[in-house]
Amino acid sequence: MKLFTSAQNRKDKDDNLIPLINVVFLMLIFFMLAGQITASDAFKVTPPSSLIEAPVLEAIEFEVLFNADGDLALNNTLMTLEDIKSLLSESKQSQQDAEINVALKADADVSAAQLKPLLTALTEIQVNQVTLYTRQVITQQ
Amino acid sequence: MQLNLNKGIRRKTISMTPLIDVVFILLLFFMLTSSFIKWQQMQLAVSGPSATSVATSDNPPLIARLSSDGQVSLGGENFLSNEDEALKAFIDRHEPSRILLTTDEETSIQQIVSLIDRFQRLGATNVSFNVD
Repeated sequence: MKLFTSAQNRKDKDDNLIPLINVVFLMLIFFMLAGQITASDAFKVTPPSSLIEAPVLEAIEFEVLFNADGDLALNNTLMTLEDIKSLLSESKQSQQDAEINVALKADADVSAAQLKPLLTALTEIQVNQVTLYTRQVITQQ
Repeated sequence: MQLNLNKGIRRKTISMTPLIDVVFILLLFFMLTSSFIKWQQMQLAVSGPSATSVATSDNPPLIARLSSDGQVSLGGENFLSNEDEALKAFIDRHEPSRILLTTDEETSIQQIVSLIDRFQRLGATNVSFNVD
C-alpha cells in the first residue's frame, strides 16, 4: 500500500511539470527566433534613438565605441583617441589612401564637447564617411 | 496470460529532470545573448576647419544653432519644437545648399540626432555638423 502511494505521488509530480516545460519551450523558441545573437561590446552603450528609417546595410570595417564617461574603443578594444588616430591613419596609408569609413556607436548622453575632439581627429585623417549608429523607435502617429 | 501481456506493454517513464535542465540552459543562453535593438545608420557629415566646402548651389548654407536646453535657431530665427510648419516654410524659402549645425558644448548626441531627424523630415537633407 505504501509503495503504491509513493509511485502515484511521483506520477503526479511529473504531471505538474508538463505545463512548466511547455512554457519554457515556448520561451526558448521565442528567444531563438526573435533575438539576434550578437557579440557583446567592450562597454555598454545606449545609442540615440532616431525616427528616420535607415537600416544597417553593410558592416563597416572600423567601429568606434564611445560612452558618456569618455571611454573609447576601436573594434571592441579599449584605447585612447591618439591610438585610434594613429591606427586609422596607418591603415589608410597601408591601403594606398583608400577610402575608409568609420562607424560611430556613441552613447545618447555623450555631449557635443566630448564628440568634437573625436570628429575633428576623424576629419584630420580624412575619413571618408562617418556613420552614426542609432536605435529605431516606434513612431507614434 | 493476459496479465503478463499487460505487464510487458507498461514502460518505464522517462525522467523529465535532465530534459528540463538542458532546456533551461538553452533558454538562459538565448536570453542572455539575444539582442532586440534595431540598429539604424545615420550618415553624419562633419564640417571642420580642414574640410573643403564645395559650393554646389548659389544659395549660401544656413547656420543652425542648437542650445543644450533644446532651443533651435535657423538663420537667426528661433523655432519652437512644435513649429514644424514655420520651419519647413523657412527652409523652402531659402532652399539652402546645406545646413551647418553648431551646438552648445553640453548638447547631447540625442538632441543632435533628433534635430537632424527633424531637418530631414522637413526636406533639408544636407545637414553637416560643425566641429570648429
